Amino acid sequence: MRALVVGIGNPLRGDDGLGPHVIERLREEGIGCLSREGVDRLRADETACLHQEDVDVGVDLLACHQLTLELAEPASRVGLVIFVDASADTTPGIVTCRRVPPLDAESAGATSHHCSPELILSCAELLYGHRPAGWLVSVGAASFEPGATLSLAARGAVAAVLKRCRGLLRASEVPPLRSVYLS
Amino acid sequence: MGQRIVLDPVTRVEGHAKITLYLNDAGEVADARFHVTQIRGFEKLVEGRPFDEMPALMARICGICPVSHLVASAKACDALMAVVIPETAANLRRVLNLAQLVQSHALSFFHLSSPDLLLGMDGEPAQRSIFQLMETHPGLARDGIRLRQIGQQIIEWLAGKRIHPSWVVPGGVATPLDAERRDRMLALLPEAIEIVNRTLTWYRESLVRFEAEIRTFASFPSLFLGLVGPDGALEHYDGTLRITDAEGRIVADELDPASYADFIGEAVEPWSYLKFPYYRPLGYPAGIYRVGPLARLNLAGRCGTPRADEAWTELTAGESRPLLSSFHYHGARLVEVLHGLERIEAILRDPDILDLRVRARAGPNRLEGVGVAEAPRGTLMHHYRIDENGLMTWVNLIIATGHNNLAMNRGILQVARHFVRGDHITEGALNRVEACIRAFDPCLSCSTHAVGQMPLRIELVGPDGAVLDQIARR
Repeated sequence: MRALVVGIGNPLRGDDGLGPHVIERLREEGIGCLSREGVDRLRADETACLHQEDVDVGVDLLACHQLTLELAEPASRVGLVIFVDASADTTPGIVTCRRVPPLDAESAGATSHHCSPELILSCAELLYGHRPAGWLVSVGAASFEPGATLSLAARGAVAAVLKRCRGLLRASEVPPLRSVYLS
Repeated sequence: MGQRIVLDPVTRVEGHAKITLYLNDAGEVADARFHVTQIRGFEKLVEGRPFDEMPALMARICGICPVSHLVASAKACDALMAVVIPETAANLRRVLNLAQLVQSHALSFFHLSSPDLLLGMDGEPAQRSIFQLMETHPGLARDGIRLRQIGQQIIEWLAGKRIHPSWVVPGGVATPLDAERRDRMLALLPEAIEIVNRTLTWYRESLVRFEAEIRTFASFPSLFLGLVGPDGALEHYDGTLRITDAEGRIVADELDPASYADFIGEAVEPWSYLKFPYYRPLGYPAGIYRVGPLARLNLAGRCGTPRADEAWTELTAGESRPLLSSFHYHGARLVEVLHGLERIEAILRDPDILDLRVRARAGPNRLEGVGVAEAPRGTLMHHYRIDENGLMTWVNLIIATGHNNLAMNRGILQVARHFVRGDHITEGALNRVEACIRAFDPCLSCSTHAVGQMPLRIELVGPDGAVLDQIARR
């Protein structure tokens, strides 16, 4: 089974950059291998000639400013999606982890600035025939002000977020993780 | 003036706006206003910055059409440098601009407007979301996502990233194109063309259900403005400006875009942050004109690429040209996507597209420069002045949507008069007022692009201040 970890947020808006920061930390640990380009190449043709950096080790990493509907198709091709995001509704520095539930039809009218994990996974099932398991790992944010630095509270939570992500990946029986070339 | 109906915010458009409908004592719509309620302030923010930073700064105006601002800004900087950029660089910018046209039009058509077109304008709000569309028309939803993805993928392969790329620079582009990326882009095009052809088929068949909307969605005589190529065909990157009237006659032609201020004036109203451009010879507000896909196809008359020309002919069969109803912006968008894909293919198949010479270098050689290009929503103008050190001293931007401001205001008045009655507010009536705005696909600067609906409350207030009626979306 393969997994996708999505770090959501703007790296130039304080703690909103936590999601992309976690993705970079996972890459530094050797988790994940496919660049966006690699994902696209494989999606276009599964028998395509692969480069060294395309070798599948089970985990795809993606950092994005916001969730968009284009994510539904790659999500449908994996067994597990982990979303990592900063939260304005949680005490700064506190890490929460919850399953992504099925979409409530009443709340389906989200704006694309708030395209939710629920919407992405439900669209994966509705449009592409497979709903992966989904988890949302959130960290309470102290600040979303312009700036490329995480707050003390957010920085202090990163280790716990990484531990949680590794635990979810192991529990889902994603193939062994190993260092790979990163583009 | 008796009563007032307020739609705040307007949904499924990009940016923040509200609409106020003023009713007379007889309960008829007497006036309407489209208020743009946000201010970005870029024209002042950039003063004092080095001019060569402008493309990267201007791209931040918008997250949907950053490429348009990159291109127009870079052209203004080219003018400040007094350079003619390498032909390969111009063509690479063209491909990027057209790829953005594809992804932006796909977003507008499939995500923002197709719920109205497919699910009807009278249904309950919960039945008119993009998610509902996925349940009832999954194939179309997949097509929309894929078409937008293809446009964005081309942008990413060319420019390094999908949003706010920095590849377009004063003097050209930062890096040349290699054969591998070119071939990948070419490989995407057949699928995209198939998607558009499928969509055009059902769109043509659906038009019969919208006769009332076609008659009333900003359907009135106006001028049309846009760039045309040297042969008078559709043009999105360069060319000259042409203005035509409601009978299709050319009012002004071969206008130098750098001289726009000679024939375009800008008025200001106290109730909106969006300016009101108008055609100077006719004054304000008589000098109303429209820009964007419908305007471009009206004034060019042909696309200059075979599939798009055929599609436009089929779409307009039986209609007198030029098309005056703004409802037809939807179809024009699809035709432009087809044209864009055809032009991208033609440019990429030219071996010169791989030339390594893609940038002209120079310092500031003029103190004033204008860059004009066609954004997805219409003509975009960047006008800069610098000091002797190359620092920005003054900027004027006429955004594509701004050109359509007068037309949008007149359009909502027209549709409101037809569908809104003061004694009872229906969801369908108010949705049609919004849908008229959506036909223009306004980009009120990237703050919101709703794929479903947003919380909205509309109040009907009597002359004594009492709330006579209200409806709410949660």
